[in-house]
This record gives sequence, C-alpha cells and structure tokens, in this order.
Amino acid sequence: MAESSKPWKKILYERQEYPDNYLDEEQFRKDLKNNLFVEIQTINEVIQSPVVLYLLQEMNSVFLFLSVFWQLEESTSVSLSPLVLISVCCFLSCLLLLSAITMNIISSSDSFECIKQSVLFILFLSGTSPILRTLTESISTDSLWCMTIISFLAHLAFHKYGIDGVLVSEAFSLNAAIFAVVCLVSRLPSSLHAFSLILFAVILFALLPQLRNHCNSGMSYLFFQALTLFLFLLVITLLSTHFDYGPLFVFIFCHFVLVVSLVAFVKLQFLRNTIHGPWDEAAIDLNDL
Amino acid sequence: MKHCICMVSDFFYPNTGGIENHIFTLSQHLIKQGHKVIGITHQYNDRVCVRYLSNYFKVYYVPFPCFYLEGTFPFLFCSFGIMREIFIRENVTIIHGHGAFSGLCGDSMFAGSVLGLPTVFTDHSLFGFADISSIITNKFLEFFLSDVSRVICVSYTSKENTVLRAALDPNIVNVIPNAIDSLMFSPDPTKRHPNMITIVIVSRLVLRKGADIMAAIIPIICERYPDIQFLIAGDGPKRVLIEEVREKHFLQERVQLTPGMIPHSQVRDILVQGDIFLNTSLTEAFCMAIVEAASCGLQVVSTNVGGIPEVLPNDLILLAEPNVSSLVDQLEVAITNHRSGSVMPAHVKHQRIKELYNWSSVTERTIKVYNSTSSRPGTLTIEKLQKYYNRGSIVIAIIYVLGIATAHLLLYIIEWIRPKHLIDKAASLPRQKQE
Repeated sequence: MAESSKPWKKILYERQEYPDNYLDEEQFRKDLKNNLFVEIQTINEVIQSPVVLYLLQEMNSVFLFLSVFWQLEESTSVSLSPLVLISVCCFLSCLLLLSAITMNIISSSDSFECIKQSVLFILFLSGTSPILRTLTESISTDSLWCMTIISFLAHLAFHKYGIDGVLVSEAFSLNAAIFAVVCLVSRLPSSLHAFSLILFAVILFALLPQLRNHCNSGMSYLFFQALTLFLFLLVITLLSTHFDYGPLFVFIFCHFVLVVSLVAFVKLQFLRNTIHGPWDEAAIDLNDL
Repeated sequence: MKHCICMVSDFFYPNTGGIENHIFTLSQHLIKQGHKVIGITHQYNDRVCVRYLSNYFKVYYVPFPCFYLEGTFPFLFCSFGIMREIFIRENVTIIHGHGAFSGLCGDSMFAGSVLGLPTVFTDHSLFGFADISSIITNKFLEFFLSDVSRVICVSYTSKENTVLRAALDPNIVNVIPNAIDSLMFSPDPTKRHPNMITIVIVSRLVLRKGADIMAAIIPIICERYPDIQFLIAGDGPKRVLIEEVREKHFLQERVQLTPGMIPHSQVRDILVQGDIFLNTSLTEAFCMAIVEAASCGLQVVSTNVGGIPEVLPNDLILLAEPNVSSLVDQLEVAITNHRSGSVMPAHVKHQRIKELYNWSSVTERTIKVYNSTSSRPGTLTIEKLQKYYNRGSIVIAIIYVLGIATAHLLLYIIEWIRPKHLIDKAASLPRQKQE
C-alpha cells in the first residue's frame, strides 16, 4: 500500500494517492450512531402503562363472547334468550354513543349520522344472518373450534393495544375475530340467535376498542378500569354456570399471558438495536413547509 | 489480461435510469479496451431473446417475470440452471452484478459462488435499516454477498452503508465514483435568459427527492426576487403539488414545468438554459444530477445528505441543510454571487468536472478491480461453507449453509442432465477479437 504524506480525506473530487479500497479506521463509520431514539423501559413503567389494561380487557372480551355463545347454545328455559341479548346490545350501543359524545370523539350533530348507519347495518345484518348461520354448517364441530381458537389467538396477537408495532394490524385483528364469530354461529339453533350473537360480537370487537383507543387519561381511564373488572367478574359468573373449572382457567390464562408477555417485553429489550448514519433519509419538518 | 465480463441486472436497456446508463456506458468502454462483455437481464414485455446492442454488446433477455417496478424476485435455485448455461456458453470469467434491489443480480452472485466464478457487485443506492422491507432486503443481500470477491460502491457513504447492510469486510469494498459523458454536458451560456435568473430543477418529483421542500421554496424566492424564474423538468406523484403552488401564487409565467419526464439525452438542453441548479434530495448515494449541472457550468445548490458532500469541492457547490430556510439562504447566496459576477466561468467548471469524473478513469479503476479477483473452486469446500456459516446467529447460519449445500447438490444434477461438454460455445465476433 502506497503510503502518502497527505492524510486521506472522505472526498471523491480529488484523486488521492490511496488505493480504491483504502480503509481509514479513524474516519470509517465516524458518523454512525446506535440506538439514538431507543428508550429502555423498566418493568414498573410497563405495568403502569395502559397497555396492560388493554390486554386484559381484550382477553376478557374474547372470553365474554365465548361464554355468551355457550349460554345461547343451550336452549333450555333458564339460558340466555336471543331477545335479551339484542336488548343488551341496544343498551350497550347507546352507552357507547353517549360516552363517545361526552368524550368529544364525535360531535352531537354527527350522532344522527351514526344512528342512521347503525340502523342500516342492523337491517343488513338481519338480512344476511340466515346465510351466515348456514355458511359453515357442513364443517365438523371440532374443525370449527380449532379454527375459532386459532382466529381468536391471531386476534389477540395482532390487536392494537394502544401502541404501534410491526405486528400490529387493526384490520387483520378485526377480521380474525369476525371470522371466528362466523365459524361458531352455525352451531346456534336459529337465525335470531345468530343475529343477536353477531351484533354482540361487533359491539365487543369493533366498537369497544375504537372507543378505548381514545381514553388513556383521567376519568375515562378510570371508567375503563372499572369496566375491565366488571367484564372479568361477568365472565367468571357466566362461565361458572357452564364449566366447573372455567373461571379458574380464565384466571390462569389471563395472568399467564400477561406475565409472560410483560417479562418477555422487558427482558428482550437488550436486543433493540437501531443504526443511524448519513445514509438515512432526511426527515422533513412539516411545520417548516 | 482480457476478461469476459457478464453484466447482470434487472435494470437494463430499454428501461432508462441511472443504473441502466451506468451499465451501458461502462460496458461500451470495456469493449473498447478489448474485453468481451455480455449482459443478462429479465424479459421486457415480449422481449425474450438474445440481442446485440452497439459494438456487439450481447444481451440475454431471460424470461423471468418482474414482481415490482422492474425488479425480479430472487429465484435462488430456479434461475441457477439458465445462468450456468449462459456462463459456460459465453465462457464468462467475471460476473458483475448491479443494484441491490435486483433479484437477478443477487441470483448471479450466488450462482458465481457455487460455480466458482469471481463475482463483483456494484451498489448504486443507499438503504436504511428501519422498516421491515429493508430488513428483508438486507438479509437477502447479506446472503448473496457471503462469498463475493469484490464490491464497488459509488461513494464513501455508500461504502459504509453497504458494509453494514451486507456485513462485509471493508477491505474488499472499492469506491469508484460514477462518471458522466462530458461531451454530452458541455456549457452553452448563449442559451441563458438575458434578463432573468433561471433556477433549474431536474429530478423525479417524489418525496425522496424533496418535492415538498421544492414546493415551499418556489413562492418564497419568487416573492423576494422579481427577476427569478424556475424551470422544472420531471414527473412524479408530487407534480400536482408543484402545479398547485404555481396556481395559488399566480406564478404560471415564472415557473415552467416540462410536460412529463424528459429523456436523458435532452437533459443538457434544459440545464444550459439555467444559471443556478437546485437539488433538494433527502437521500442520495452519489447524485449524478449535480455533476451534470456543474459540468454545464451552473452554480449548484444542494442539500447536504448522503454522499453529496463528497462529490463536488466547496467552490463548485453550495451545501444546505435539508430544510426550507437553509436552502433559501444558500439560494440567496447563489443569486448574490450571480449578480456580482463572482462566479467561476462555465467552461472552467466544465473542464474541472471533465478531469474529475470521466469514464476512462472509471473503466481503468474497474479493470483494476477485475484483475484483483481470482477464480475459486467450483466445489463445496470447507472454506466456502465457513464463509456462509460465519454470517450471524446460528439460525441464519444454518439456513445459509443449507442454501449453499442444496445449490451444490443441484449443480451435480444439472451437470448430469446437461454436461458441460455438450453445451455449445458461442463464437466471439471478429470485431471483438480484433480489438
């Protein structure tokens, strides 16, 4: 290698007396920066974040749906009648609309539009529920349960728990849940049952998370904490009439998922590694334009 | 030593662009030096054939479908048979691939490693590490470049980027800048507007080229200086934005947009009409546009991103941070310089660029890279396996080793179906022989 008296410079506009593959150890990757914007979170910060609440609530939503399904499936005199479930749904949707207005997510002038759309949706659903009920009738029950469980797990895995990530996809998550619902619906005795269950599922999986994404502080957050607790108790009550060990299973499942995911999230943070350098695309300051 | 070089890329004539132009011109210069050059690319519409371009530059249009913007998917083993056939047929001694986004180029690097032919890879662009698509592309690149002989980058920033992306030994990476055909970009001050100062922009109108900044700068400059006009050549999704700004501020007479993208051969006619060239790119490995503009004798104002600060010396370029206020400041400096007449004469600039970035120097340096490569065994050796094995975590290593081992197994099968001695050798054309 030809040594030269002139120091090497990182420029192309001068032929330097160094070979083309010359490597200047000092200047090479001088501008490389690691983990510029990475914040390492401690276990306390994670536990206090709303994500934990969202995760618990979403798992409870799934179990609530399943327990309502079991209640509907048994057509005995004491079990849940579809008419009761429909009125519960109406009550819930009114509650959601009211809370959305009080939290200023939609203005009260838009509420008429909302009600119009809901009525349209309900009419459409009542028209299609006989079709939806018979869609998976010919598939064996075991296969249906298998598909349901996989879909619900996918729903939980891809759900947006208030933060963005590579895996998060709201559309996919919602579709997985609705697919699971359509799978189960064919085991119900009548179209009215199917209609009521799908309506309930839409409120639970489509509307509730939408509202939840807007409340992460103050009173509304407290309200959701109370709601999660209420959901949990409801699930346990409904399941205990159906399975002896149902409540225990729900309790263990929720806590297992919560503990494992939290510990994994905190402990695997050492793997976070971002690289920044002059090759990065410059970010435009939008206020500047 | 005369080589037979095989240029492989998805980006090829009849498509146009920076890489296409680079491959074509480099090949022409290599042919003039007496080397044999062939090209491999994917099919373009119904162009599935072997064609000769200027100076008997033979190009194979192989029937592989594109999957995204002229890029093919990395076919790995599927393209292996046809590549081997072409390499043997043409008696190729060096494989030279271009462009990290080109699946075909990656395949050829892999095929070269399996067959034991020396491989050279030229990277033309910068790439980040942030999103999922870049992670996947970088992993593919890492695999394909596991056993590469030499890598060429167009700037030192690009070298740092490529070394990180593909986990390469920096000593095998050479930096050879791009070049321009200086005869094509000669200055002509008579074409300039006598009373107005013209600011020229030649760029695709997309986010990466900073079209948003462009749109913000135009009204500010036009308001402050009544004798400034803009001439914009380019097309893209952000064209609407520029047209909107022009309409909103009633600048139809002072902001001229060419209808659509102009061919590379007409860029010079646009450039010579201007006094100042503005480049607002947000990322750039080398940036040919500013070199072409400087060669035409314009004052260059550019954002200070990527490899741009390496390209032109301070007396030929005004560098600004990639934001509106900084670029406006530097444009004002350029305007003041122009008014006071303290600008380097156009032909002096042209002469300097001609000495800096000419094709004969690029060709000479590229041949030096070719000469430094050596052929390798075309069998599965422990050294080759180790190269693939030492590429990262154990999972990646196992996938890579399985890949290369399968390819060698496949080579035995192909060797049995199509033995080497049964493949016809293409005759060299007399013209190529004689030179």
